[in-house]
Amino acid sequence: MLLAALLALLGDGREMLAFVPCGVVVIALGLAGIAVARLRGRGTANLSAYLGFAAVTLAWVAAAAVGTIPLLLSGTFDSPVNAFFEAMSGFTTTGATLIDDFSQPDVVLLWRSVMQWLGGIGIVVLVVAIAPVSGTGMQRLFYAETTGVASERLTPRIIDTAKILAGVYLTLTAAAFLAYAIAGMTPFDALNHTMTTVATGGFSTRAESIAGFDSTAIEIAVVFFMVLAGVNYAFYWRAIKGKSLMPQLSEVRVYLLLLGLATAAVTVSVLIADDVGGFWQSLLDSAFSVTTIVTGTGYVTADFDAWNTFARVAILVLMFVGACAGSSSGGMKVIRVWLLLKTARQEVERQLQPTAVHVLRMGGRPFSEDARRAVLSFFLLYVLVYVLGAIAMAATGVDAITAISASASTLNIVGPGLGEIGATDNFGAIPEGGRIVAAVLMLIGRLEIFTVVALMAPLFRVRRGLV
Amino acid sequence: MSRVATPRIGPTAAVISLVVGGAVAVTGAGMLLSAFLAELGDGAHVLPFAVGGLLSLLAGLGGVALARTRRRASTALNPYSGFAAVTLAWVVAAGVGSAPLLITGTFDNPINAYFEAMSGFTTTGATLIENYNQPDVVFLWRSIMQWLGGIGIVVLVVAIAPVSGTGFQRVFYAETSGVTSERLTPRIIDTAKILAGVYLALTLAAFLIFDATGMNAFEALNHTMTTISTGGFSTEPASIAAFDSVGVEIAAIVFMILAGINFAFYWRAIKGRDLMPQLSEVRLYLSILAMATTAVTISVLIAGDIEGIGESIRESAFAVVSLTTGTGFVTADFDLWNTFSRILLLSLMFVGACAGSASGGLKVIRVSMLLKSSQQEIERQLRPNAVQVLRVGGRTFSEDARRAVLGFFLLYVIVYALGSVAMGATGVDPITAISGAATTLNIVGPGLGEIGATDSFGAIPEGGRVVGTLLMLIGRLEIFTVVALFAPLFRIRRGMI
Repeated sequence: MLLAALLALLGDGREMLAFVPCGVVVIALGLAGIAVARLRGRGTANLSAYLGFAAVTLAWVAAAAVGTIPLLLSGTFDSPVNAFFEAMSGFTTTGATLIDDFSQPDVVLLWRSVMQWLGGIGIVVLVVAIAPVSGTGMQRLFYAETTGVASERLTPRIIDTAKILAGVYLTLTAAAFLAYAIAGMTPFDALNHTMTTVATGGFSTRAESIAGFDSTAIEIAVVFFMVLAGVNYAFYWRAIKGKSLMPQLSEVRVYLLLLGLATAAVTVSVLIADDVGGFWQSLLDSAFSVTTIVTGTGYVTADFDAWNTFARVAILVLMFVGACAGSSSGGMKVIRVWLLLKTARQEVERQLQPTAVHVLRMGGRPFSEDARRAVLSFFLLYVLVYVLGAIAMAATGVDAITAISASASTLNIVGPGLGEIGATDNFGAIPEGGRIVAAVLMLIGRLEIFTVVALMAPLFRVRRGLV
Repeated sequence: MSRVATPRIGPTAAVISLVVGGAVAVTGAGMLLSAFLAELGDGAHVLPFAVGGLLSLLAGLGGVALARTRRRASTALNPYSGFAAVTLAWVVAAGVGSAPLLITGTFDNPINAYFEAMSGFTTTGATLIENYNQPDVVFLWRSIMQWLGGIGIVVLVVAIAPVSGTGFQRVFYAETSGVTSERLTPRIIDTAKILAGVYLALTLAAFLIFDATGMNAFEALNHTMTTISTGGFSTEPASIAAFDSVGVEIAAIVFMILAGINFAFYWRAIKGRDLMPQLSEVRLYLSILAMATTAVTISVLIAGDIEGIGESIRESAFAVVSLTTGTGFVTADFDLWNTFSRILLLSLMFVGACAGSASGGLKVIRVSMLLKSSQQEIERQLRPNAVQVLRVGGRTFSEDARRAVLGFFLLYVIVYALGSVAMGATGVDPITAISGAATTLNIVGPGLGEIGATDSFGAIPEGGRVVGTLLMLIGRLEIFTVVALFAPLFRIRRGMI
């Protein structure tokens, strides 16, 4: 917050004062909280899984709550619900916005970008550095089913890993900033978009998002950095450390292949059905839309909601795929999707040869039957939460396609959807109840379902023995 | 030996010839039946059905006879040829069934006729008929296709699959169990007879009730056949709404619910056996229907879609039962209701009714296993070392069964997502594409948007009808049967990444 205020000082400086005292107070409180935890000593060592989940969930909720305050004080929002939605969308790196009027003080736009930037590094550190060594249920959650980082813990100490990740994150940020500035953005725009690109967030300083710049160079630069931001940070870490790239390399390969294939399919459909202006324009718009949706960034250059139904439904499905595990993107993540596809194929084979033994493998690495169950169950929970989210969203009174896509867009940490929340719209058309549902879905999706849902486990236990 | 006199065929060909021949023979018999019944009605266009029926019956019996030349053919059945035979049986039956629809001029386009016949034999109930001014024989044939399709799938699932010893057991039973543990009778044919008896008894009861509540004999006969098979074809463009009768609607609701119950449950009740394996599924099925009806009723009342509580309950209950059982009858245009109830109805399509009925969807038993498994998975996050046993309705399932049901769910969602994208590619709007894939894969009939409660599939372009036909077939045979036929294609890609 102080960072946003400081940066705004260099800009127009309006409403900056709202941020300064808040920032000071929050930092003080935060430090106090950490100090209290330290007093207990060994606080994290014997953390029960439930407490771990509660702590992480609370961290995001509290951050969003605190982030809400300056948005209210600066007069950007009147309704606390709206401000909280915006802050949650920020810290979860979703990028769904309720701002209609983009003539806001610099500090507000900066604060939105900073929220995403912090949310991005937060989730990366949580997933790649903390989860594998925490020894709690978190380990199961993020790793039992995924990358195998856990097997040879990145570094003995979380803090070392976190430093390396932060270094990579900062490097990417600096590189993106330079590239954007060279491609023609003003330093203010470049700074904001850099932070929201690297975090796969998607907040923009303009109502039309990236389309507002109308520059091919900028679009290509943005696509490039979105793709980089969707790569597993453990991959970068391994590359730097000179370790074997293998567990993550095959995921990255599938991820790039997916982007390529999806872009090709959407380009062809757009060329056949929609007139967006020639082959190159179709290719650029398709590549941009596919990348922004898969990585869960949510920038917009073309109104894909006006495209043919194939492209729109494909975009909806791509939201669920997401980018690599260990990035700040949303969705189920490429590695899980790949493991699911392999399992699906093995299940088909099992119908034909019921006694054959199948081993789930990726990148030469075998996964246990337990991991198979974990990834299948993750998929099941994901779909269940999604369906319930869509029904809840529908109960707030939007039309069917908006409900279906809003639930998808928020759970998968994307931003834009179809229908009333299409590429050129914001979440303004969603009634207040729907914004609350969306905020909850963003939180659940950001923490990969189990973290939040497990907190409600006691509720399910009550129903035990009912049927 | 008579080897010189009779043609010799391999074991795979024998199985296929037996199953497909049987299906064609039954189709032919059904055609003759509809010709006979229509003769009692308006008698128009009966000839093509009589001749076609006779030819099909003879051809089918020929196929069966050919298979019989090889003794003990079915014992050598491998899973692949079993899947191929059953898939072919549905494909060929629909092909034969579409022929008279073309000859009578009901359809000009073979794709449309084939869609209608596939919708019939799979008991989906999606129709392309917009002009209901058709000869009696056409309506009867549509109803009979559904009726035969319904008993066909019930016999396959309850009688044949558990004793086949092939992949069918996995497809239909590994995950739903309930029936496998105890074969109903040692011989398939005995089980099939009992099931057919229950089916006929339900048909007769429904006919009498429909007749008594105000339908004429022709309407009662058609709707009876399409209710018991959870099919949903009607003789009226407005479906059940055309009768505007509370009596008819209540009768339809009751028989749709009865048709959605596991037929093994009836068998056990008749034989005085332990009802437990199926009882918990039936209980959950009824409570899903009740809860969904309550939720839809409340939402419809709040949103002001329907006036009055009595009317709301009546329309909501009908829509919920019709879509959950995959029948597809319509009394109210639920596509005009609030979004909550529309999305809920769309979700209910995926639930379906009980395993071992002619309904579609995932089936209640699988859904309850999935819910239980997801609850256990959440607990496992909190206590990673706890040992969990999947137990539903007093039955214990193996880890293999858990994997099977999770795998089934995965395949179901993948096929659904691909189906939606493919449907979208044919040029309909997204909600039509999404609900079109759902309603065909789940064997329901109506959807949302352009294929809403009061519409036919006429708004779907030709490509979409082909996709719909394929999804009906895949959904009817519970995904794996059809998808496994493509397994050789997947093998080619092995080792790519």
